[in-house]
Amino acid sequence: MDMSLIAFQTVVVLIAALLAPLLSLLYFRRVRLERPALGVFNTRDIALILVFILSLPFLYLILPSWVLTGMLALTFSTALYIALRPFLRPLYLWPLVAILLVGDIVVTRTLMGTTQGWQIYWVFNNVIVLCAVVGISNLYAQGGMRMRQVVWFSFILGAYDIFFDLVIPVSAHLADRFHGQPLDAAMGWISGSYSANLGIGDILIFALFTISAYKGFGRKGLFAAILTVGLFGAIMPSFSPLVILPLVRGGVGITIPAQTFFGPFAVLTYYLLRRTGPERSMAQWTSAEVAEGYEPIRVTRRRRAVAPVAAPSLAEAGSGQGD
Amino acid sequence: MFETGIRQFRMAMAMMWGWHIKPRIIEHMVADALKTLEEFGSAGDDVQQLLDGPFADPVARKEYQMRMVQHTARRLLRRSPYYSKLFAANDINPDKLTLENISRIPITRKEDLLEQPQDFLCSGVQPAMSTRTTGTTGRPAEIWLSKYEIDLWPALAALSGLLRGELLPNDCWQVNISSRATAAIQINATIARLTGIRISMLGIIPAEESLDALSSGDERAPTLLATYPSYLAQLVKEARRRGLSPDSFRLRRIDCGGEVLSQALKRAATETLGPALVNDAYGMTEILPMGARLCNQGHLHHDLNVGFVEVIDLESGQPVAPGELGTLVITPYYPYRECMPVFRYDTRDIVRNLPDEPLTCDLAGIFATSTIQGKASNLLRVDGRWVTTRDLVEVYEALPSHPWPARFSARAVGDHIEMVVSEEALDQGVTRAQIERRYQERGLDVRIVDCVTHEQDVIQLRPLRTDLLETTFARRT
Repeated sequence: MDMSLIAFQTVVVLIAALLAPLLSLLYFRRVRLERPALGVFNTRDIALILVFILSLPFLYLILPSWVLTGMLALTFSTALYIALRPFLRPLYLWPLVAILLVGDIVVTRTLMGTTQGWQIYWVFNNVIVLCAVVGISNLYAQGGMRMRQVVWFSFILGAYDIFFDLVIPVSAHLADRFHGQPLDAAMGWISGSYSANLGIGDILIFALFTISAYKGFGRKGLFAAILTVGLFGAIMPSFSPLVILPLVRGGVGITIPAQTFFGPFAVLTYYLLRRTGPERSMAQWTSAEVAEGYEPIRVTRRRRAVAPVAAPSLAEAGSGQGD
Repeated sequence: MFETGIRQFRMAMAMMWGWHIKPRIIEHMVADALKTLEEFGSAGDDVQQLLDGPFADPVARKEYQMRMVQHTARRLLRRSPYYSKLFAANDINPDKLTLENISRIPITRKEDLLEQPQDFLCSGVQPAMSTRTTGTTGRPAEIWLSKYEIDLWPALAALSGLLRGELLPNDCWQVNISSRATAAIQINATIARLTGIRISMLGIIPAEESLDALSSGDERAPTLLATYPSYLAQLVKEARRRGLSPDSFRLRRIDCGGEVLSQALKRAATETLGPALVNDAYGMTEILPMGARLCNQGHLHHDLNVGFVEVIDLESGQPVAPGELGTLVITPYYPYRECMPVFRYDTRDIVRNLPDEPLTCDLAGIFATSTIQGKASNLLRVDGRWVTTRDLVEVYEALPSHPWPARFSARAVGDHIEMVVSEEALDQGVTRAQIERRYQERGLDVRIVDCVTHEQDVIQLRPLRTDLLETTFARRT
């Protein structure tokens, strides 16, 4: 194994693995997303997302390239809208989204083949994926997703990753399929003959893990999360090809199941944190933030027509009784 | 969150198109609301619109009302013997009903319900439970409810209570309403079951016992009280007699209904029992779950999601002009009333139409009238103007003698009102002349012609719901 490649890979993955969670956390503390009147993110929602995530790679493998690009464009534009809506009016937001997505597609079609072309491609791609992760992780976390759910989500994805890496090598095919495609669902970089990237699923889990750890357990949760993500989400997987030969594929197009390494440690971290006290709810976290003088700088408010719930006032029903 | 979204969508579709609503869906939504409150401490951003509907837009409101009125009338034509006869006799085609020509349908009065109750029962619906009006203003009417209604109403009320912050999961609710008000009792008990709050159903027992329950239990003492204004008056008097102050209670809200609640009594309840809000809501057995609630400016806002509201002139039967008095005529929509529904029911509850200008209160998007001014049967015609029960009660209960609840009888004699008052009104050195002067300051020529001292005579002056006293053994020991 080329140690320089490992070092390059470690730096790229570490940056991707930590930058997105820290930006997501900053967003979480300062921006309030719109919340539906009723509903909390629950285990059944996670099961639904899991089914979606588990089946999507197979779709990606069989879909024609233009359909795949279309689906990714739709997914990313929605995620970008969620993330940027608190800062921009739709008049400016949609053109910006279009510039980013079309720019990525144009660069992929016209500038690939040179290192500079690849680097421009990754700049576009990284900005898109970063914004998408910040938006989606906040949508879930601000919707009530708890750390306990995140770590078990990660654990299940870890099992999925290892199965489809070692038993049925779908992940490697998927990496090949996305390589050089517009809107690659990953953050990465290229330098000379070295190239490395980290998939959006892993980045999303790291962001969710960090936010929910901070929300649930405060500063000690944040410290534990950063340490766990850095060590077991970035560094350990990056070094794993040195010892786990099946991941190497002869040194070409290495695919590493990051969640397989991260998931068990995420679960362990959660249960260690739980021993220090109960996980805080959004309401408790918000109260603590207000007590510390932190107020959101942006709050999404969108008026829209909602069909009403015909609900008589408690008082009307409770004490009303005619003559 | 995904499931909740689906439930909300199903509920919304049922509401908008008048489909049968599965109570189980609403019960699940109550559970969703509890989880939302546990996680976030409050409901989400669209909650107000979710509760009150998109009725700030007059066009949307009118379109919804017309669709629901037609839908309800069509069902009554098919299922209700009374209304199929009434519609046939008046050549009413539900498909051609509009909000403008709805007055072609004769109003339904309580007497109609009393005379032919069987004709109001819809075919194909199994009556499950009957409830009687309390009968304080006449013979009680019996209303039958289906299991669907018994399940649906409390689920809706529980959801609304949680989302509006009227109920908190750690609340304790003391209910002092007549045990014979079975619909309200049933609703309250089910609301408590669905939301997990503690409930204490005491009924109309001696005020001393209720006050004991209100002021004991420390952290587990009641935080909500549901009662009638006249019974609230008894509680306030007893609390003052014992020298209790707001520190003795944990109440955060009192919900009153069924009688006129005066500003003076409201103020006294706040000062003595300490709740942040004394709510004067409107509801009636015959039109449940239709009701109305007060805004921060004292208007009565009617829930247009579940029924159609008209304010009509007592004599002409036509809609009254802004600022004028009229009787509330209410049509609860299907799917909220199933078993024994009424159409254009004349409640005989008097309200004043608000002036024709935009509202600026916290419920400005919802249709409103004045508060209930009293029953039509108690209106007095004096010197060409109507005098309502509220006109008289507001002055009477504001007297320095604190004669709560107001016990008097009044009758119009020519250009003035003759009043018989209770001895209690003349306590604290208050004289008949002073009472008359207070009424004069409000533009009412009132003359006190007699004063009643004997307790039974005092009660006969103005029977109130607090008189529906239920005996207990507690005071015998």
